[in-house]
Amino acid sequence: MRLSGSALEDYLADVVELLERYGALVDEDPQPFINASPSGTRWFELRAGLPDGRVPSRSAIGVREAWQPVAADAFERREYEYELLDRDRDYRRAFHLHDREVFARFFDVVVHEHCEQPIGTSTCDHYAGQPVGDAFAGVEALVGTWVDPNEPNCGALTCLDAG
Amino acid sequence: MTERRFLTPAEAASVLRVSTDTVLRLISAGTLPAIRVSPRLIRIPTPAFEAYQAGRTPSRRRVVTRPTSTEPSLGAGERIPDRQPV
Repeated sequence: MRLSGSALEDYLADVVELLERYGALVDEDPQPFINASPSGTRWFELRAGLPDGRVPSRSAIGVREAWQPVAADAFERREYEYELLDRDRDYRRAFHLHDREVFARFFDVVVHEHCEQPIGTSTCDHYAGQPVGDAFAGVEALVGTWVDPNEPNCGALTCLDAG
Repeated sequence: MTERRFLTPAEAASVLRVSTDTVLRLISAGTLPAIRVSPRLIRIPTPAFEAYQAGRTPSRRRVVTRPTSTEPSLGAGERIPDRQPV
């Protein structure tokens, strides 16, 4: 996935719009921004409160991505974190891609997931997962988890740290 | 929050007093946000449905890029093998 700087801004605007279409309230009101770090990396983080009937909402979706420069005005998504904190049902689900060399070396994978129920407690630090194509897919997966009447079954996931 | 967090297309159709096919068309057109849980299972998040009913559509935000001295730190705080004390 490769985008120019301006296309990356459009991408983030689309992500914000998608979250709001699902009824989430994005914290960065009124203007989301992308950080341009000294290394040339572009990165952003969003927190969107889910409409859980509380003000402010306690449950939220978080979106963080880091994009590395790969050519003049061209960036590729290098890392991501898509997270859901459902405080009403007291669980956390997350899809992560970061420290890819470490995960490749220790676990022979690039991406991993988190599953905590209750929040803050887990019998496994990292679960095996599937790559998430972009923030839209991440948001849709997490909104789908939030609306699902069945709570996540962490025990059904494959633990990477075990053994 | 105890109320249900989603509606099925049939339930949305009942509330809107249209056919389920009409709701599916709205979803397909992107007018009504919905989550496809499986090839045959679609759920409409209640807040998204309420926003649609109220005629609320998010206004598109303008995103800007700004310099920062901070590098991203994804994974910070996680227990990762290389970071754990030997």
